[in-house]
Amino acid sequence: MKRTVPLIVAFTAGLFGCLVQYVPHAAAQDALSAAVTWDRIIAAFAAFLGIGSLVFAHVRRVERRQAGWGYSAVLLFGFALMVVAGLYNGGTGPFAAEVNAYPDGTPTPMTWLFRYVLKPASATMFSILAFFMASAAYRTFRARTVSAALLLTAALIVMIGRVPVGAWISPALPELTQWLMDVPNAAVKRAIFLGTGLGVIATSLRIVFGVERAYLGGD
Amino acid sequence: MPTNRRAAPALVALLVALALPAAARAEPGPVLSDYPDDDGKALLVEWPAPAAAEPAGTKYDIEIADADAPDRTGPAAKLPAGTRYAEDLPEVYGFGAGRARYAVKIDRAPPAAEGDAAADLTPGRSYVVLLTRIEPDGTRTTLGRSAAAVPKGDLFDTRKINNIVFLLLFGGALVWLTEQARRNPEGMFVRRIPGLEALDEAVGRATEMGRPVFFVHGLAGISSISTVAAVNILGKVGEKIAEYGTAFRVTNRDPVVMAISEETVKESYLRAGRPDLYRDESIVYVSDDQFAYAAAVEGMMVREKPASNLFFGYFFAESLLLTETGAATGAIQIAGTDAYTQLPFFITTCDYTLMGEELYAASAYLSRNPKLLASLKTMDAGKAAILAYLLAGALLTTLGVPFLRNLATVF
Amino acid sequence: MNVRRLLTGIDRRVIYLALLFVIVGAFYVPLDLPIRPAKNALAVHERIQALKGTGRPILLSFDFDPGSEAELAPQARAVLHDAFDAKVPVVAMTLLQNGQDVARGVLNDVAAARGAVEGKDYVLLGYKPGTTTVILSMGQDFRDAFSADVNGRPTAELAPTRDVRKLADFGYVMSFTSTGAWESWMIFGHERYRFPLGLGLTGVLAPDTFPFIATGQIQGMLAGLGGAAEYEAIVSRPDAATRGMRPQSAGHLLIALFVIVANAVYLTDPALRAKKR
Repeated sequence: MKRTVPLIVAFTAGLFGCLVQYVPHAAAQDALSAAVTWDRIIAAFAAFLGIGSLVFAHVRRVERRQAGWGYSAVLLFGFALMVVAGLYNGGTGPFAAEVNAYPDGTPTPMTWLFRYVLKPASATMFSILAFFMASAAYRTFRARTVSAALLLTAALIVMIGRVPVGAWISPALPELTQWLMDVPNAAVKRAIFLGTGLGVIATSLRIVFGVERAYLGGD
Repeated sequence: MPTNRRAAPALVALLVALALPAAARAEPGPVLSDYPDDDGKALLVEWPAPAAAEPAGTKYDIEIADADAPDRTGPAAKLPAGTRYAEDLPEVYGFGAGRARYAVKIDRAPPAAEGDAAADLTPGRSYVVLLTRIEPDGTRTTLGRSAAAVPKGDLFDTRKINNIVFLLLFGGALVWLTEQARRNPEGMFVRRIPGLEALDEAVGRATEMGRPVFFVHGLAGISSISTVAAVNILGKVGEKIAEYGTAFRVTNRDPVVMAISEETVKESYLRAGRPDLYRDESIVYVSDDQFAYAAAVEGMMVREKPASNLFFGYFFAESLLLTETGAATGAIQIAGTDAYTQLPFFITTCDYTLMGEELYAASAYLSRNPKLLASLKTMDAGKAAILAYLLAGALLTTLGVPFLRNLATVF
Repeated sequence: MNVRRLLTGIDRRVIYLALLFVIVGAFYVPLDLPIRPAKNALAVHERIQALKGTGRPILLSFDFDPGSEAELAPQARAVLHDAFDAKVPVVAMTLLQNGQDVARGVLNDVAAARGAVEGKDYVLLGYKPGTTTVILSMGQDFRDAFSADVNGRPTAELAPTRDVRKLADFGYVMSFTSTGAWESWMIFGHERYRFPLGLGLTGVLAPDTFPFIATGQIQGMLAGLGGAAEYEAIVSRPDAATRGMRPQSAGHLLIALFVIVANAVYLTDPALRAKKR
């Protein structure tokens, strides 16, 4: 039962999703709309699953004083703070429309936390990429073979051609960059998309017909 | 009656002479019909295009009304002359229909009351349209009112016949090759994939060093094929981990993937005969925020110093953050993704990288299951067929025969 | 001191410091760099200008979170200026839960600068979970997906959304994203419902879209901060993106220099070439 019911659901849903692509009649499209609405509701509930798992795992780590439990305590504090701020909603409560600022323009606690804690933290993490990229490029981009040398040359042209200093150095650089993107890059990407597209079709057919069962958690 | 016989031709000639100027004065009216291959909420309006070029600034105005109340019209479409010919609707008229007729799809119903917003056409209800030409100086000339037509929903979209034929051929090949694989599983050759061969090495290294193995899922949910492939690999890695008794961490960004990972790893430990070694806390839901996930996993890597890092799934910008940190801790790293924008970062920072379809092939490669091997072969056969079609189509189109190109058009 | 060994063994922290110094320093170098709009950026502008006077709104989907705001918010700002200039109604939404505040911030800034009125010139629909399913839902029945805007006002009554019943009623749809949302918009949006689709992407995602631009499935694309600077040049409103071109150029040049130096040493040192990675 534990395996059979999900397989039947997967088969039925897969067949429905496939057939509805070929049936333009309003009845089929209305059925698709209903299915899509159900999917949105399920997706929203999945968020609770994640929250429950997160809180449970970190509470257990704090209770057992496992390695790194201090970080779990910080996480739980931050989590509780955001939940309380969100429910407070600038004094209007969780059932009112979202309030971003008080009448005098000062941000609500939720907005303040989002703008001055979450946003800078996210931007900082993204900014680290530039440094990591420079370090990775310096350590590992070597022209070990002919194809690697070609790749390196193209990479340097595109790196310089995509920024205004490239046009300042030579007007040919942006032109060459655009050609590299429009012709070799597009051609290779097309080939890759064709291959992965076939892979997606094959795997989807396997899932629909019950051959692929990884999503059930094992064979 | 000789007089009548002589009079008849003269009479006919007179009638024709009288009729001709009238015919020249008669304006071409619109023809309204159901729009094919749709949900019944559209109609098609056609009318002949004048042979001579129309003056710049000429427009056509189409108004729609219920057949029961033809005088209460609402706007349906307005278009400049010289646009929207039959050749612009190849899904209706085929390719090369030319510019002899205008053809416009309309899907707006007359408003129920004055000031109401536009609504959809109702399938089964009868409508008429009124066609007016607006000259450049603003003069409006009514070209005619169409006969009534009824929009109807269609049960099959004939524009997608090429699509369904391809799907049936692909599915047929899959069934046939599966049967071949069942009869002769040894005959299904799959080339060596170094990244998958190295999984044993990665687990062995961690066991020797007494440090954990980290399995890092990508950002996509279970609906992504790369995540399905990652879960397959997790199952095989879990078995090895259970055999050796190595410490294990599986990080997840999606709660559904986490639940599936828990089941998969539990099954793996059970298959290896070591269910006692399974720990719930090995499977960790971190965060669904991209950079919070990356920051948390990096922190875990720096603190716990895993011997081996396995990155499988669909990654975005956090890929380099994860792998660079992992490389700095000295771990052996194996990655597999179909996110081509991240492949350069994985290749430069990881010891082995599975690219795109190599990741999809993982489940077949590791299990050697005949059905899964057959699907690999079907993918290869599909690629060969597409390659042949592309070459033939490009050659024919170059020679002025666009048949194969038109056949592959998606509407 | 062996210069070769020094050049191939630079500590990664030295690289980080050098990059930091060059990027920050570039802000203070008074150098005007030429910004030439690419054809894909011009295509976005043409699409928006073509809607002038038609009354058809554009849909802007802010599918990015604060991490990508530095790259994508300047694109969105420039496009908003263009849309308000052309008096094209704007409908904004997001498929990411952290995108709503970002969308609100950008809209408020540009609307305040242009005197645009919410509910009349633009509407913020807010966030709905589900990505693909939201797009499908909007394609089937827009009012079912978004019956009200973020302030609770019915979309059937607001000027920009009054005549919108499905996605195809928008004159142009543009997704600003650093995630795979662009693929969802293309596959489940454009391919099914046939509306013109434009994209504003981070630099790393842009190369993936060129095959689809060539086939006409994507009509216009802004790539990274450079794309934002190009659009600012198109609408003659130099702003954050234009200012960011100097440090970005400096950073790219520095990385290129590192790669060239490392390869020059590598190619001229047989011992290094013989060593396995």
